[in-house]
Amino acid sequence: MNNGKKAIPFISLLLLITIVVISYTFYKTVILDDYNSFNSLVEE
Amino acid sequence: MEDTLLNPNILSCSDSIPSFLGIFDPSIAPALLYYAYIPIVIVSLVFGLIIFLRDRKSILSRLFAGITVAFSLWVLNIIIQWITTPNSIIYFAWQLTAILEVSMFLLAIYFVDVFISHKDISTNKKILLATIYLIALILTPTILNISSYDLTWCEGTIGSLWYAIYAFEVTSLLWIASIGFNYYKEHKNSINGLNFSRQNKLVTIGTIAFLFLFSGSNIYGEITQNYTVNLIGPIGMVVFLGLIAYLLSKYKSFGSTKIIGVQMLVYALWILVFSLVFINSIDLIHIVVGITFILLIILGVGLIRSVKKEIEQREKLERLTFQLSDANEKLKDLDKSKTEFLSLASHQLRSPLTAIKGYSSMLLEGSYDTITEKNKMPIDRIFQSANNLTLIVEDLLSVTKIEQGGMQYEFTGIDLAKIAKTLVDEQFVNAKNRGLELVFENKIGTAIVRADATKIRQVLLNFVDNAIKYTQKGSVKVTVEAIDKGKVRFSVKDSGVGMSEETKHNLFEKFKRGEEGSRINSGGSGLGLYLAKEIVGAHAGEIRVESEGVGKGSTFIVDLPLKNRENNIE
Repeated sequence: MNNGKKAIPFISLLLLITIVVISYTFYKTVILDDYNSFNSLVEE
Repeated sequence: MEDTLLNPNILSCSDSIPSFLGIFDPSIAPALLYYAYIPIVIVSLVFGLIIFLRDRKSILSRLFAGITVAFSLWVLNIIIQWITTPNSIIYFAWQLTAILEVSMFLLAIYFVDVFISHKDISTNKKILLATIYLIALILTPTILNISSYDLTWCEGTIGSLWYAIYAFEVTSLLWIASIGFNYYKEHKNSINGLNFSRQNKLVTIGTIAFLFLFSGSNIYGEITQNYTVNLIGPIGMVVFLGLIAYLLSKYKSFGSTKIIGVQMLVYALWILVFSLVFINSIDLIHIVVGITFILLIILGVGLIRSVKKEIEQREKLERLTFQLSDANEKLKDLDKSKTEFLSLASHQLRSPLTAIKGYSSMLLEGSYDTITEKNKMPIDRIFQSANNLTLIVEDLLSVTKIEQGGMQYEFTGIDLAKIAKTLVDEQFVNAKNRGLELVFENKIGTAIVRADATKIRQVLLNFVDNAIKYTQKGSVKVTVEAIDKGKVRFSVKDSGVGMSEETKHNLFEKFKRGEEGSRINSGGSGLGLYLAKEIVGAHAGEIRVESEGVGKGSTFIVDLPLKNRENNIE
């Protein structure tokens, strides 16, 4: 039950990928304000 | 186009005014959002933290903390979707929902598996769970997740990924059920199965109930487009937390105690009661008071039962203690009566025995006319038997004296070697009659000890007499020698019946006789060695027996402190 040490690199990798993807999503959505569908709706 | 872009409705959700921190409008969300979600989030986070801090290394603690964190983030994300005014942030929050939901389900599967199987999951399963997670994660920023954003309602439009997520959620429920079921099936007939099935059933059913309420309300909201139903979802967490609290108190899972469950309920009640201060709507007061009431019932019933059980156990314990002390008193009385009876009986026996011994001795010596050879033998028997009986009665009297604390010792300086030599000389004929060789070895010369001569002689005689009685052939060797720390050792080594480890252990207790010895000589009282131990103890000496086993002979040893000038008390 206590073999948590082995799991650390695996979980760290998953966390790293998560941070990268979430940061990218945040950058794309909030910083770039890039929501095409939203603009298209406005244009209509 | 310029006008449209400058229109605040485009940047901010049309029906909201940012009144809190520039981006939040707390007034647009249904009040239930705060009262249903916030206490649950606080309680689950505190609960997760407590479990995690109790045993940081355990996978179960980590997974449980992980579930509470993922759940809290999901709830926080929903609150942001409701009350945030900038469209970009609402859109971002909508995009995160998928990965948070998937994380929660994956952690729940992992948790139930570890909880039930009591070991970490296999690498293959880990890879499968990680793959599902990565797929959901990578699709997060794509239109497969949130395909468009509806300005009118300030909400995202879900993409095709969500159909896969709903399918995954239903599959997860079946997956968890199958983990529980498989384990139940495997261990149904084993001894472990009995202890196991109940808490495993509870965790499986509790997790399914939590996830079902959670995802069921989401799917229902999606189908009917009535998102207020979503507010019911997190209530499932209460089921889950309540269940974990119950398991903690009942089975002490996570190595914790009953107190956590009570703590959690009390914290929840504090938060709920305190929240009443800020409510101005009577309907909300009804809801909060309703929830508080339910929690109070649970806490109350638990506390009443616990106190009742505690009192019952204490009363039972008091009753048993009383009975025990009563029984103890009775035993003491009985023991005292027994000792008194023994003392009385022995005294009464001694007088007629003295007469029998005296007259038979006089008959043998010819004081009442000459006796024929024919009559001599039975009279001699009478004399010998009376003699044996006298010894037993003397032993009994000594025992009663010891037990009543009335044994008197007259300590003087005596030569142990000399006493031993006299004793061996006296027993020489006895040994010879039985075909045994009796050897005496004096390695010390003179061994002056401070002792009661009569009683020490009784001990030494008992050793030599026993050795002769219980040795059928071979020799008996008596040795007196000096040992370390100013002590003298008297030992009697024989080639007799020997004894087992168990016999050695009990030999110096009252009325205990060696099994091997009893077969050879059934006449002993079982008091001689007990008396020897008591007497040697009163002389600050040590007594013990050594034997390599049945049939391998034995050595009885007494160590007594030598009398020297420094501690000459006389």
